[in-house]
Amino acid sequence: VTDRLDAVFGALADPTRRQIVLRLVREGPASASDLAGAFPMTRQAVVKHLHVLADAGLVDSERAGREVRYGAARAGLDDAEQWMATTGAAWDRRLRRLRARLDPQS
Amino acid sequence: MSDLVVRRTLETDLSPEALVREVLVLDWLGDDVVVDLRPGGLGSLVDDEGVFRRLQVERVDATGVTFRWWPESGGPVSAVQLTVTGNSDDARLTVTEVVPARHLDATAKARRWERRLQALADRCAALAPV
Repeated sequence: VTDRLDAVFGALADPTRRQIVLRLVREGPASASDLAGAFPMTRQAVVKHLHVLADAGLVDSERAGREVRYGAARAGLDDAEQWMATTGAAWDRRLRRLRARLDPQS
Repeated sequence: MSDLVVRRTLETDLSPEALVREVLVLDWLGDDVVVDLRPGGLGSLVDDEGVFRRLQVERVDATGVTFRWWPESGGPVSAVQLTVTGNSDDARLTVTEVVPARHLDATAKARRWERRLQALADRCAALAPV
């Protein structure tokens, strides 16, 4: 089982991919050609990065006529992050309770 | 789309047998914990946020318990595994909770539709003749 957050962190470990996500968040959806014009790389290289980001759930794509527009999938990431944060915090509290019962002196 | 996983561990100086006994009391999971602790057994509890959760036991053995749980008011079903490992005086509890991303997406979509329908209801109420 692959941890989705691992995929998110893995995708964002690359500085170029971080820049692409930031650009999509700040300036809205763009085509691979738009992004290739904004970064020093080929359109083909941009598409590869976009596929990694899409696999991690960070980027959505939508066909608009002959081109595909990519956008930051912020809602999906927020839902995942929210679940990870609230579930992790709840288990931290439960384990503190269990610890207190196992070792009342602590 | 892959699963979301939360994992925590608790190190102790107990034997695995002693730790499993304590873990399986399950009252540390929340308030008003009631569980029929056998495969297929049902249970419920109120978590720290006051959310009423239902659960169903899948497996109970000498190493711990596995169950599925979900908020009764609606929300994703997740799988929880409480597993004890270790030697005579260093037992460790590993907690793993997994939710399939599709369950999370379905919950998020339901929430979004609730918000949209509420917004529509508010607009209709504002347009209604007094």
